[in-house]
Amino acid sequence: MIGVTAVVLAARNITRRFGTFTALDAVNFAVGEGEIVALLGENGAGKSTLMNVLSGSLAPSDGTILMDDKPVRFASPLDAASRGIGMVHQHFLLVPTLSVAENLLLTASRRAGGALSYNIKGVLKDAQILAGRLGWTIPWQTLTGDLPVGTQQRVEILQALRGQTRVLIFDEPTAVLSPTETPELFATIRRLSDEGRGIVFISHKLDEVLALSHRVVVLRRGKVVFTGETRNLDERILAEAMVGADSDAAVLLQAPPGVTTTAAPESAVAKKALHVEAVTVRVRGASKAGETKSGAGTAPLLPTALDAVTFAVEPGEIFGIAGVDGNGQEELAAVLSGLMRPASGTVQIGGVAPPVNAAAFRRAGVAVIPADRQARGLAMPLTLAENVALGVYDSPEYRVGAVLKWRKLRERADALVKRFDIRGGGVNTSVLALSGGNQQKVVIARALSGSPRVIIAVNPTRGLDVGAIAYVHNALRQARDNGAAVVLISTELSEIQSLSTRRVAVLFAGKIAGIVAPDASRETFGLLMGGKRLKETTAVA
Amino acid sequence: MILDATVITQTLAAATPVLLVATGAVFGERVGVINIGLEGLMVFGALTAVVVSVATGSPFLALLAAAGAGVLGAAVFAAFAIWLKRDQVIVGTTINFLAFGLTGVWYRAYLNGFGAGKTATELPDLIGQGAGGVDALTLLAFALVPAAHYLLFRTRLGLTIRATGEVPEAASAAGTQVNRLRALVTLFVGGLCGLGGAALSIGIANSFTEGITGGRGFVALAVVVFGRWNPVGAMGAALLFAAADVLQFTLQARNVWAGLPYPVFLAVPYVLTLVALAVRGAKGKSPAALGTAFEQG
Amino acid sequence: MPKPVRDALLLLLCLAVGVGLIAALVAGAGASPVAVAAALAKGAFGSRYNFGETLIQATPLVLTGLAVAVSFQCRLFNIGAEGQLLLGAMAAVAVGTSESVPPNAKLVLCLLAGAGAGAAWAGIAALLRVYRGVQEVLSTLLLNFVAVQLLAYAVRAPLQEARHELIQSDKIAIPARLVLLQPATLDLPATRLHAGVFLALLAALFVWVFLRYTVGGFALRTVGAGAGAAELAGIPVRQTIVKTFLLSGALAGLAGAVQVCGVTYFLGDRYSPGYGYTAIAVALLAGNKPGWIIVSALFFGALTAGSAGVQTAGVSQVLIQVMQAVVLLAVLAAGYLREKSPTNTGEAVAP
Repeated sequence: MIGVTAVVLAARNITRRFGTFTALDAVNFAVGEGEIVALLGENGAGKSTLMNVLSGSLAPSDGTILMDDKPVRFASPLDAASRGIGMVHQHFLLVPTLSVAENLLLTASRRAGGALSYNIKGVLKDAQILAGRLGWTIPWQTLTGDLPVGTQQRVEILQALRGQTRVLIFDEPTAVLSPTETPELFATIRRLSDEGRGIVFISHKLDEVLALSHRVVVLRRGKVVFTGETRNLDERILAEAMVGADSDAAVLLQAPPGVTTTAAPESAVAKKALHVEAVTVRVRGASKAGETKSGAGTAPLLPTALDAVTFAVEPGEIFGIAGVDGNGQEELAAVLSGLMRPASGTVQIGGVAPPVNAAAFRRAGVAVIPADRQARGLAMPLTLAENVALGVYDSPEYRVGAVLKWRKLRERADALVKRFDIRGGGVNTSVLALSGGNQQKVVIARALSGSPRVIIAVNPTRGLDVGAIAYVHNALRQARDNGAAVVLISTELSEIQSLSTRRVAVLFAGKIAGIVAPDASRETFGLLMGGKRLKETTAVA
Repeated sequence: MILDATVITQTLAAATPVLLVATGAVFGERVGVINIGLEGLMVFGALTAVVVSVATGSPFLALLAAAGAGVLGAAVFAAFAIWLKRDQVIVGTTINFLAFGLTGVWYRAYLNGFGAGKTATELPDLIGQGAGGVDALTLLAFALVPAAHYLLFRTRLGLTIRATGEVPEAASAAGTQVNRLRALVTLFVGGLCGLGGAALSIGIANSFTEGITGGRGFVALAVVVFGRWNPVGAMGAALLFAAADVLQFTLQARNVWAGLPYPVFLAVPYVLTLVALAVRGAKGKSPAALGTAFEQG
Repeated sequence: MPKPVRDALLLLLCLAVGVGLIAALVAGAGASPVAVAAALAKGAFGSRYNFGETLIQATPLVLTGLAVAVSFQCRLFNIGAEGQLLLGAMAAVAVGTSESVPPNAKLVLCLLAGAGAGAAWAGIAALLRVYRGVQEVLSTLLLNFVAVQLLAYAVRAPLQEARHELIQSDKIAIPARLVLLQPATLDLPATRLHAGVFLALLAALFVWVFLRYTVGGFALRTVGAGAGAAELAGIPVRQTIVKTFLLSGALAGLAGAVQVCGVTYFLGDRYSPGYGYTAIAVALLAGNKPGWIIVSALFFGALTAGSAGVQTAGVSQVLIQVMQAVVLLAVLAAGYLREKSPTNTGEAVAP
């Protein structure tokens, strides 16, 4: 494709600095008419920064953006949009309490009418034509928050396609989709490219990049390290380009999954450390939007968030739980942390069911590395010492009656700072001042310091850079070697495959769709994650 | 005989200040701003109205000035809460102190100065006379309700306001200057608060007294919650509050339950508001971004 | 320059700008700012009696300031210290005028009743928040208005003086009163200063120790810093919220009881000059820190006591309210400048 068509949008020597940190370093990038360019890179490689520059959200510190070979300067995302640059965000910029039609009107170009107009019919007509061309049926009057994620993404695409959009940028669009929704999205993207639009597809998933794109550009640490036509590439080349040949993560990424299937320690008779029996969770109440005017037709759904989930984990095992986000992971993590009481079923730690509260679970030996470290993991303005004290503040060892032994707690924190290599401040520093990776180290230090019996780790590496990811993975392996039973709930399949000891459960719609070995084929995982129950699951119960 | 035409017009008049403020606050909260200082802005408006009415003899000029005073006070709120991104509840509380203090100083100066012994020219009644009369501000307050409803739910501006209070990032991506819109709405709400204060001082009465607002700004905030952030709902809640107010007054005036001291009656509207919040509280769902600052990317 | 010093200087700078604005206002009103300042200072510190008055004004402000600070540290906006104080005062009068309470227990029971009543009043807001999702900002504000009417009712009916003439209560029995610290001697005139000032200092010490060293205080601060993290650590969030309201209300209620037992001995209509509202300024000026609350309460106490003398300088007492607002605006502005200052590098801002 490249060379055949004209370049629509190009970046020439774009540099973007944040303070002393250079997020983009003299980056060159181009997308042509009808071309699908994949932008590949690890977390923190600069993909989002580049896209924010190209879509007008960020101004470059240096360098030029060209459209049709003419320099342009985008004043805002809206300005970029009016010149034909559309963006489909990873975290949808939709208002859940507004209907689809209202969301479309919100972002319709100003020509749809003035502030006091309400040309919802006109906007809807255009969108319906577009949706018809893409073969979509969309419930236009439903509140957006009540729609499945895949449909929400279509609304987001319709928004981005206003006017004569010439370049459409997709930021990690498959992160939120199920394996069955992904091919549909790819079909959409191909159709849009056939219409002559340039597509930028941001991803860190190699198979998707290979399947979809015409050309691949790889970013690492703010620099373009690799460009090539997709048909000449394979996973190995891309993986190396993405993480660097010498990196730990490259090894980790390329290691054949079978290698990690180390045998469980010789403790078959040992009591299951964690036993989860028929846990069912129902989602309470109607969706929040149910009662505003436009949502009159939507009956409140009462889905089952978790449906009779049963599994057991042995000491020294990392038990993976894979699945697309939103299939019950959140609820399962809450139940396993003692934060949520299931409608039915039991959770036993070492054969005993602790009372359902987080403190009792912790005292029973459960340590949690929560998904959202800022909202659940850390009490942000408090100090490092105070944050690690949260794991032991109620233990008799650290208090006399109601009075806390702060000296002892600080000494402990100090030891943990050294042991877990937490950098950026001492025990009296507010955790606000730490970097993301070091914040996660605080969470991990708190979770792992008490030699827990059971560890619940939920997306423990999300948003971390390569070094921090390797750190977290090693910490989990070490805990496993020390005899902990680890439940790893993650949406990163490669992480699940490389860490899980011998079994991976796949969650779909609140049910365990199957339990397979970590070296099962990607296809198997894809099917399970898409809700297809296998006839013969390679069960290793 | 408790329910008669006078009671109804009195209820409308009593509802007017709360309704004006609540209609504004619906927009304020829908755009994501919680302003505890509405009470103080009402006080500004109330005194300004009296002073200008006495000085010019024109109650309509007084209304204009009262709205202006409300806007001015709201500008201080906007500067600290939106521009400097300070906590909205604390800034609102500060605005109340500022209003109580400044009006206190000003009122004393006014009483000792040209205001000595004078009464303000009241707003004339447009319909009826005396106790059964309805003045222009009451008409305006109730006429605003359908207009506000239309603006909020049937225009692009209203849509943008609603989106801004829910997901400001989405509104911003659609080209809205979130903080500018919030500031403008805040000023508009301030103007309505000024009118709400004037409704007390030159609408219902013809003078200013300290504590004239009696918590009506806070009640208006509760009315917004009870009315589900909806102008029509807020109107219903404001009427309920006003009815309780008139009822307690009527009961007192007619010596019903004469054995009870009057404070029992005076407490009724506040207790009622609390009960209403408690009943409705758990179900109400405030705009998702209410009270949070927005950092323009 | 070390950060705490720079922060303090910033705050002082903002306060200075605020005071300058007030001086301009005073000058605009036709009075001399210097004369007003002198009158203020004289009223607050000019004599032994005046300084006693300053301490008397500061005493309830320390207690209500602590009440507000405790709730703010838990990220709860208890703006109802005023109402809680009134309830505390009522309870103290009820106990202090009761015939059935043994005299030697009277004072202690008065104070306890005051704290208990304040806690109960705040407890209403706590329950509304925890069980009905009602914002405490609204409920505590509305409860203030109810409390005012409740007090008005109380001094007209159940607590009205035995003769039923004036709209006020009887005086509490002498054993229920706090000791006067400086009664008249041959050489010196009396001040009204009472033992309640020590009670306030003790309360500040208690709150400081509680927040800093106890499990309960740690729970309170953690819930304020991040309810999600607190929950995951097994801290019962709702329970902590309720307890914080109760503690906050008890401190404000104690302030009411101390006023009754130490200063007024009886209740009348419109009892408090707004100690519960000034408390918000006291707490925020002190950054919600117990030690600094003593200082900021003294500042506002001096303003209040001093303003008695300002009348003579031609500017009225409501200036104090303006002063509160200006102090708050200065604190807010200083907070903004502190966050903006270049040395305060938080995280890297890369997306």
